[in-house]
Order: sequence, then C-alpha cells, then structure tokens
Amino acid sequence: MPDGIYFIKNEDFTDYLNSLIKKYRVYATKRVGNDVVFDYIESGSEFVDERSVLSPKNIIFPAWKNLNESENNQEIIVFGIRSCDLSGFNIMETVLKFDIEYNKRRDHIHFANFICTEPCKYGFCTTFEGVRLKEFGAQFLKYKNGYIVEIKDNIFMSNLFKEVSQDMVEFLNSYNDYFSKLMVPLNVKGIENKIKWEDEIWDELAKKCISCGACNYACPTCFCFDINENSYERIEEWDSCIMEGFTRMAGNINPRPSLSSRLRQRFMHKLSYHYLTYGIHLCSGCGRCFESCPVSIDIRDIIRRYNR
Amino acid sequence: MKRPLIKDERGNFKETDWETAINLTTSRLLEISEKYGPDSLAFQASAKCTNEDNYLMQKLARQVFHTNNVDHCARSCHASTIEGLITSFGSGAMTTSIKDIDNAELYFVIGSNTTEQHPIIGSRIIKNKYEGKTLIVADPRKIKLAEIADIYLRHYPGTDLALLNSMAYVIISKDLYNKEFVEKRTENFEEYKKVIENYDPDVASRITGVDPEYIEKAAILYATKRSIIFYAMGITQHVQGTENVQAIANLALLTGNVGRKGTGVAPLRGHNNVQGSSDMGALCDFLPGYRRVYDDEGRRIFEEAWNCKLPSKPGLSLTEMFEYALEGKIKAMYIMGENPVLSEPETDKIIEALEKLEFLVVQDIFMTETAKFADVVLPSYSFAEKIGTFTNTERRIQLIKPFLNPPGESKSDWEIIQMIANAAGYSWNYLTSEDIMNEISKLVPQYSSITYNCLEETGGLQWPVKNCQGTEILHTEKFTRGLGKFLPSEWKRPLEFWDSQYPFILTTGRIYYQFHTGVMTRKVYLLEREAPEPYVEINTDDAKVLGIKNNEKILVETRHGKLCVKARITENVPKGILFMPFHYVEAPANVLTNPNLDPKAKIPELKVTGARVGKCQTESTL
Repeated sequence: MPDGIYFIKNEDFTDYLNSLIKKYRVYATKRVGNDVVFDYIESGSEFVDERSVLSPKNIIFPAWKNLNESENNQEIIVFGIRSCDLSGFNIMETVLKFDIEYNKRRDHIHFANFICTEPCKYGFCTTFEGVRLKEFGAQFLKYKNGYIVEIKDNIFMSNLFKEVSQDMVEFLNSYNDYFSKLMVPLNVKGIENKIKWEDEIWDELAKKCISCGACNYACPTCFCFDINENSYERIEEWDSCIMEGFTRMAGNINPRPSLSSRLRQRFMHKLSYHYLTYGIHLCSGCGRCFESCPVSIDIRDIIRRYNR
Repeated sequence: MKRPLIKDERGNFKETDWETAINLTTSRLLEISEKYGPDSLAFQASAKCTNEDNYLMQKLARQVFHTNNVDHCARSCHASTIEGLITSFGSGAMTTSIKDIDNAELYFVIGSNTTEQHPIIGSRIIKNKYEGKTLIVADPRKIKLAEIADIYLRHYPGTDLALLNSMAYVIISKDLYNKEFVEKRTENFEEYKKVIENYDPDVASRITGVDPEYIEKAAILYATKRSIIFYAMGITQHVQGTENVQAIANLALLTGNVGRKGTGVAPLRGHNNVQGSSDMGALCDFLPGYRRVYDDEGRRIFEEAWNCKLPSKPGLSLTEMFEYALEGKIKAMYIMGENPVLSEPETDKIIEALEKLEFLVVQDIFMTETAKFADVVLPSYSFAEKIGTFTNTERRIQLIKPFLNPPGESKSDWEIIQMIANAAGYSWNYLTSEDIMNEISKLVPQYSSITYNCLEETGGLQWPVKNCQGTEILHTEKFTRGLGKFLPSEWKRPLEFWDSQYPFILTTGRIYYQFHTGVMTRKVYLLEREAPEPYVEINTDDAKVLGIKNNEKILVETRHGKLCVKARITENVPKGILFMPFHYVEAPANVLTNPNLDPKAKIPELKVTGARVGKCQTESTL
C-alpha cells in the first residue's frame, strides 16, 4: 500500500480529534447558531464537516495585528478547512513567504483539509487545483463508513488509522476527475493574456459595485495589508484594492482614481498579473467573493467573457 | 474613558469614583430643578443606545425630574417622518420589510443616497434593478443609484413637495389612481384633489427644474407597478419636512402602493436604533409607544405604572433646548451618547449655549467634542460591551450581546441612569436590562409580550409584536389609524433660496466611510484614510466662472457662519448647488446651516441654506 494514506472509521473519529485536542490547540469548524464557523474546540464532538461561513484566513494572516507585540507561536491545528480555502492560502503564500513574521507563524500552523463530496452553490474550484490538493498537512475524503486520510505532516498521525484498500486508493486517485464531472471547470487557459485592459465591462461593474471591500476580505488569496501607526502601536491590517485610499499617494495623486480602474486591477491581478509573475492564478475558485458580494459581481462571468 | 471625570475650578478633568460623580450630578440637577423649576433641565437620549437605555432616560426626565424636556437626534433626522406618517397612516415607521424589496417591481428613491448611507438596502435595490426591475431616482446630487436609474429626476433642493404633488396630478388626471383603494381605505380625497390641481407638470417644472415629460413618465410608472418609495434626510430635513412625508404617504395612498407585498413607504433610518429610541418615547412630545404627552388617556397609563404625576405640556425639542439654553432658560443638561457640537445646526451657538449652562453632564464612550464642555463626564459601554435591544429601520427588534470586555470602570447607560434615579430617592430596582424590557413590554403596545428569549429564538421580531410573532407588513387590512388620510399641502418657497446675495444653495449630507460626527469612525484608520478631510462639492461650470481650482481652499459663507474648506470640482452637483459632508470637526458644516424649523416636527432645514463662495483669507491656503 502507498505511504501516507490511511483510513479512519466514523466511530473512531471523535476519539481521534480528542487525541489531537489533548496535545494541541485545535481550531475547527463548529456550529454556532445556524452558522458554521471556525473556533477553538474543546471536544471532538463539536466538530462538523461542513463549509464555514468565512475561510479561516485570520489565523494564518490576522486581519488586525499590533506589530509591537510578539506572537505566541504555539502549535495550532486548523481542522476542517475546505480544499478551496487551503488551496487559496497556498497561493497566497507565493507572496507572503517573503514576510519573516508570516513564516514564523506558518511553521506552527497545521492544516487538515476536507474534500467536498458535492459541488457547492458558488464554488468553481475544479477550474483551478480541484478538490484534492497536493499541499496539505492532512487531507480527508469521505468514503463509506469513514474517511480516507492522506498524511504529509506527522503531527496528524494516529494509531486509530487503519490500512487502506486498493479500492480506496483508486477512488482517491480518480476523485479529481470524478468531481470535474459534477462541477464542470471553466476554461482559464491563456486568460492571463486574453483579459482586456480597455473594456466597457469595467465601467459596467463600477456602476454596480458599492466598494465595500467584502470580496477582498472574504478571499483566501487576497494578501494586501496596510501598516499604520499611532503614538503607541504599529498596526498591520488587511487592506482592500477596491478602496480609493489603497493607491492614493501624497498630494492626492492616485494612479487608480476611478472605481472602474480599481475593479479592473482586482480582476487583472487575479487572472493575469499573478500568473505572469508566479505561474499560478491568484484564485482558488472558492466563490467566496461573489457569495459575499452584496450586488453579486461574479468572477466567473469575467472568466467566461474572455474564454468561451 | 475608563473612570468618571469631574472638572475642577481650573477647568481640568480629574478622575473620580462613581459615587462622587453620581452624587454630584444628582444634587446639582435637583438643586437647579428646585431653584429654576423642572423645565430648566434638559435631557438628551441617544439613537446609538439601546431601547432599555432610552426608556430609562425618558423615565428619568419625566418621573424623577418632572419634565418633558427629553429628546434625541431622531429630531434632526426623522421627526417629520414620525409626525407625517402618524397623521397619514397612524404609525411612524417603515411600512414594509427589507426582504419585501425583492417583491416590488419599482423603486422610487427620493432624498436618499441609499448606497452610501444604507448599503444593505442600496445593494438590494441595485441587485433587483439588474434583474429587470424599474428604478426612479429623484435627487439634486447625481448619486450612484442615479447612474443606473431608468428615470433620474434632478430637482432643486427644497422642491420635493412640488415634485410629489405634480406626480399625483399626473396620476389623477390620467385616471391611473386606485379607485377601489381610495374609496375603501382612505379619507379626505376631495380636499387632496383640490390642492393637487395646482400642480400641472408644466407648473411644477418651473419650480423644480425637472422636465415635465420626466415627471409624467415617473408618475405613470409609479402608479402602474408594485412600488416602494424610499426616502431619508433629503425629504425630512426641511421646513416642510412633515408635508414632504405626507406627500409621499399621499402618493402611496393614491395608488394603493401600501399594505401589500412589494409596496410601501420606507423611511430609511440613520442610527442603528433611531426607530427604537423614538418608540421608547425619548421625544419631547411623545410618551413610549407614541402616546402624545397631552393625551390624558395615554398619560394616565404611565402615571399609574410609575406612580407619579406627569407633565402634559410638550417639552423642548433638541434644537429648542439649545436656543433656550442660550436665552438662559435651560440651566442644566444631561447628554447621553450624542455630540451636538457637530451634529446640530449653527455650531457656534451650540457651543455658546453649552458654555452658558450652570451644569452639564455628558455620558459617552469617548471624550467627544461635546464632553469637553461638561462638568461631569460619565463613561459608558459601547454597543460591543452591553446587552440590550435595538430596533432597526424595518422595525425589527434585535437582541445584542457583548463580545468585548468593557474598559475600566465604565458601566451600562441604563445602570448609570438608575444610579442617578436612586440617588434622587427613587427606588428603581432593575437588576438586568431584561427587567427593563419586561416593563416596556407591558406599557408599549408595539412591544407587547416581548421577552429576550423569544428575540433570541427568532433572531429578532418586527413590531407590532403579539405572542412572540412579528409583523412584516403594516396596514394590510386597515391602517393603524383606521383610514389612511390624504393630507395635502401647498409647496412653499424655502426660507432661504437662491438670491442675489447668496447665489448658491448649500446642502449637507453624509459619506460612505464616516458615520455622523465621526466619534467612532474617525478613530478607525482605514475609514479615516478613505475620507480623511472635509470638502465642499462644487459644479465644474461654477468653479470655472469663479476661478476655483480643484482642492483649493475656498470660503463658504452663509447667513449663519463661514468657513474655509477644500473645493472638490464635480458633476455630481448641478450648477448653483454646493454639497458638504457634516462629519468633520475641522470644518463643521453645521456652522453654516439653516436653523429654521419645521413648525410641526421641529426638525431643522439642514438641506437648504443660501450660500456664497469666496476666496479663503487664512494663511494656509494649501
């Protein structure tokens, strides 16, 4: 049997999580009211295998942080993240890896992602990496009376794991292809060169957009931050390229003065610039941007516009 | 702020303990009340505080200090809505729900920059517009919604009534009105018809500056579709504010666009709890549940419940409180969570009034511009630190819970108020804010039978509530007052309009990133970055004629004051009109604004002030 692939039965699952909780802080999906959110859990039974309302970006890249305070870097397990969110974080890392503080934090965070069993309303992850990832700590796929587990990070190992069968391995290996039939990928081939700078679409979108910045905050790949200071703290916080002040310079000079130019920047960055620089699109296909958009601006429409 | 502050003889604030602060406050208030009579005190509640806080504030004023001089900022935003809609429909609130927006076919937005001030509702309108619904926008400024509107009516500031009356003229003359609805559900139609006859679109066009064809088109569309009217300060902040609101109600009555799914009249509220604080009777002329103070029957209910005699004379409105303070008739003021130095018209006079007071106590979360003038400052919890209820623009009563630890020794607003009542010898004994809600639910019919449990389970209920069941749409079977009443009025020229001395009209408003006087938002780095400084919008042609460059500091002068502020040259405002946001202490727009009041609702005419523009003489002309 191949290395690093195991099986865990449903009846062992809570015990498995409890064994992790004993040793580490576990930040996992749990239900609060009607919502599924990320929070530290005390017991394995709190965990739910569902997509959270927001990605756990805050844990790996805090929304607000006082740079004068040192971080308490204890080991944290992030359990139950969807593949799309983790894939987004991996993409974000192409840039954030140049930040020493980020790397220190990242070394102590261990991700266990869950592969979706059915397409969600907003996602189009098959367009990019797909539901089964290459980079993870542990990866879980529901299979009959349990989960197939892929392990890359030994922190997740357990003696509750069983051996996998040939069927399971085949199921796992063919899973991305299978899922692409359920969720047909969009064609992004060559989009980095096809997307147009001069296009009426940017003005059209600007008429709708109310520049709230929710797309940036919800996106698992958006890494822009701003640093500001006052007399007693130095704050790093998430920023949004939709805001006018994002590129405003001294003397009120702004290279992106209009909302349409800022929207264009956002989509150009997602679909073209990042690819041309790092060889990967700055999008994991999670769909969180248009899920959170109050006026439903849909990145899929932009992709379809240039690639039918 | 972490501890109560008391000002010493030298005018410096010193920290103190609660007992000292409360005893000083209470004894000074009692002293002044004794010496000059109860009506020498004034109390200001707050639309940022919970229903429970506001309920106790007005109870403190009325029961403990025997005065109706209690009011809050709803006065400067929606007092005309309360007055107008209560007289037309019987109930001064949004008749429909936010969810119901999706059921409408047409949105008529007048005097509301919805996407900037009510983005949840604004974005819902945008979404529906892109799904094929119709949008009519009437606003002197070319707001975001105007860009995607099917019809954009750019009328002059202060001519809303003429525009609305003219739309009614078209609807009646083209026989498009809902005869069945008018006959069965309304009264006073004949009177209305008589007044409306004077508003032929050609006539209205000369008043409003809108092409008669557009008025006609808009009226026909409005009458023939399921329509909701949205409005905000652009309608209410006028001398004719109440009449404006009634004219909107008239249009809805005329076409039957009220009381059904996908129709309605939607006044958009500014503060998170401006609906609730009005419901709680934090108004100088209304007791909780909108019983007039001069209504013996209404007063009796509270006199029995509170075991006291209540004053029947309406108190002073927010703006009047300051006038009276200037005249020396108000001697002490208790301000909770408001910042009138920035939010009220004629800032200089407000400051003078505050300085003239014998005693001022301010209760707030931060040291505000107003608190600087106080003798005692009491630190209270912010919304994030307390438990209580807020009532939002769609009448939804929602429970809030703390998610931050309060700083230092600060306390809930209601606790502080109760301490003062106790110190004054009243044995109030509310242990939790829920105790207060229990009392409210017995006395305010709209809130009857509400418990925190049922709010928590349902995630919030829209009043009127009965047996833990809310009401999505008001006036479905009959109006709260029985029949809907047509209340016609003639348009009057605003007291300040274009003239040879003041060739501009100054109108004020708010912007996306700042909230009111900026007490909270100006402390948030990213919001402040987006909108860091005050400005005045001026039309490109006007700027050219006057030789004004973009970002140049110019002098804006009105009959009430003057200030220097950066010009922003734009097509957003038409010729002859200036627009200025009022958030900024550096250039407080309300130094300039017009304090003329709507005689019924006592709301100041902040939207129309005669103005002129000149060169700025100060040394820093950057």
